[in-house]
Amino acid sequence: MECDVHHTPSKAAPSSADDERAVDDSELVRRARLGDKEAFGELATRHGTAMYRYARRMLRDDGMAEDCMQDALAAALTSMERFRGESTVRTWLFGILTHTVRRRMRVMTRHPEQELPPEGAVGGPADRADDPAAAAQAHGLLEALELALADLPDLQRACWILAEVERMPYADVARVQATSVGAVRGAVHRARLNLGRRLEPWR
Amino acid sequence: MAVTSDGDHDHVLARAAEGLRELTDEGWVRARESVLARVLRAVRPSDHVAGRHAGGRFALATPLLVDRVRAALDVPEGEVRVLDVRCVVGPPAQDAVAGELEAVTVVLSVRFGSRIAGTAELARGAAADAVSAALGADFDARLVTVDLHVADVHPGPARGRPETGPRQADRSPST
Repeated sequence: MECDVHHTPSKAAPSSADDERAVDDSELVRRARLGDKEAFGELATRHGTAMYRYARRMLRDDGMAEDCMQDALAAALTSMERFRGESTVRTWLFGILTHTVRRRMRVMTRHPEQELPPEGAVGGPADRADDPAAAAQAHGLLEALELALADLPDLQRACWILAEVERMPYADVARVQATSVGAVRGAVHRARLNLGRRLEPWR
Repeated sequence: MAVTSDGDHDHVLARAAEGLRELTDEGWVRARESVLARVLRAVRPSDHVAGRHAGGRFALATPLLVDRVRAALDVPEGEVRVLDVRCVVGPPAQDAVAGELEAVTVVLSVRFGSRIAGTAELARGAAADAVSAALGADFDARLVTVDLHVADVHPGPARGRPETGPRQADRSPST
């Protein structure tokens, strides 16, 4: 019997580093589930920036955001078998992170609230060296947004970040926050009104 | 009630959201490597299987064995994708931490258009070789049953030149 098979690179099996970006998340999960640590590392790298951005704004503390990232990624790694593809990998990871963030926030309520340090970002609008005036304005707007976000109720802040910054569909935000789509829609609407009022001087 | 321009609000908020979206927190840049290293060291609870080499017995965590089998079959440009690897491990003998590997079941997806029986047979051979290599030179791999379950097919690109199966470069065709 002959093997009637053919030699062509597949999406699931990239042949070069450039092709690696084409590997989709579910393929990385499949590999990570079978013990491929590089695949898990790629997933963490791919989604880590957005996850940390969310955790830091919910917790307003770098150390706690880092701890939450570690807890969430460890939980994802050890529960990889339970991911069945009912949601996107990103939604699944954010769901785990939200759980760890909430747990940490419950601890935080017993401690004085901390201010989010104003510096501590790279790659944002302040890095636009070609137009210093625009960069300064964007930086100012970002600072104002950070302050306004900090004053939002937790659910509004979480929903607005996920929906507007991370561009997650409302249904996915609802899954991450373990609530209804209607509740998400309402929270995002109220967040927009509150943030709009706070950012009035920037109109 | 104040009259506000929703369009202006939306524009400012969109700009602000975009600014935040472009931002990478320095804290994450600083921490990500150490966080990832700590996460990857996390130990998953697992069974152990007994291996044998000239110096005696050793124990191997089943996730390691699974990873070896996956790596042997899941090769770039191969015909199969491993969906799952299950190990059946017997109870450990008295004073032993690891039981004997009795069977390995590999759940596969094969590329659409490939000859399933031939590809599966090559995969079985590659899996058996991987088990044998992982469990030491003195391990008798003939005692281990390697079952294959072809559970899915995945799309294959356009047909071109003849393909090799899993590790076929190292193996002669089975038939």
